[in-house]
Amino acid sequence: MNSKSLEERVEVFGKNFDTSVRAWVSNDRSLNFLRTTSARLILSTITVLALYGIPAYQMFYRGVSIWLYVGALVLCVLLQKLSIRFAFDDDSQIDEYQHERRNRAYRRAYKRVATILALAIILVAENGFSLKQSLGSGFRYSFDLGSENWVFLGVFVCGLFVVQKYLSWGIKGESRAE
Amino acid sequence: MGRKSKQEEERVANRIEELRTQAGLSRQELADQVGVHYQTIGYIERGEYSPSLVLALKIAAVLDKSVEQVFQIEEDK
Repeated sequence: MNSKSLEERVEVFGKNFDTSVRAWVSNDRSLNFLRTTSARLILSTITVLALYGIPAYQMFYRGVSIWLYVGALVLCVLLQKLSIRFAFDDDSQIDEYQHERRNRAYRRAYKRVATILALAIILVAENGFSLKQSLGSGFRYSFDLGSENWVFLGVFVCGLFVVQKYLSWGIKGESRAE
Repeated sequence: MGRKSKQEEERVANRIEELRTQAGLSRQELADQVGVHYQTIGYIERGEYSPSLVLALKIAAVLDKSVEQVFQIEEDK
């Protein structure tokens, strides 16, 4: 009985704490420098570089730590969340303009992810088909990246889904408060 | 020849900034009273976003005007 009430109290405390922190971060003006158009442009560029650049570097040169990739993506997502006032996280904290912009970002993100995945599948299939054509019918195409690169690919696919909505939010930032 | 986009079809002009200034309200104060973010008031004032009917009614009520006095459909030039 006691442990249940303690659990409930901890849950309520956690929920309230989370909501308060989000509300504070969303409305605090000291973070407005992250919300301007130039800040969003820089942030989006860094996010794209982290998402595609790090695995591309790993594919060609190797030796990149997976934790560097994960850490870079987590940092980018955190900064993106602050930049758009947690618009994807909590419905109760956003108004109708942010709601509309968020829905538009979701639509764009779905299209982009679908396009990128379709292109990747076509590229892999086409690559295998061309090799088979040139090397004859005895050729067996195997898509072997090596275990390390498979992990990078897995993180990339997860990152693609998580990050795309923030990139699709757009670079248009907020104007100065009056 | 093609269909006009929703934005082109529904250009809504407004007098929020003028009326807000007359009422001595800042964007933040107006935003707090109608329950939106102050940035949203800025987007509406600049015509970058057309508010919902509910929000338009709330803004008009705070400014003590009718909706027609605050918002008008812009004539095509």
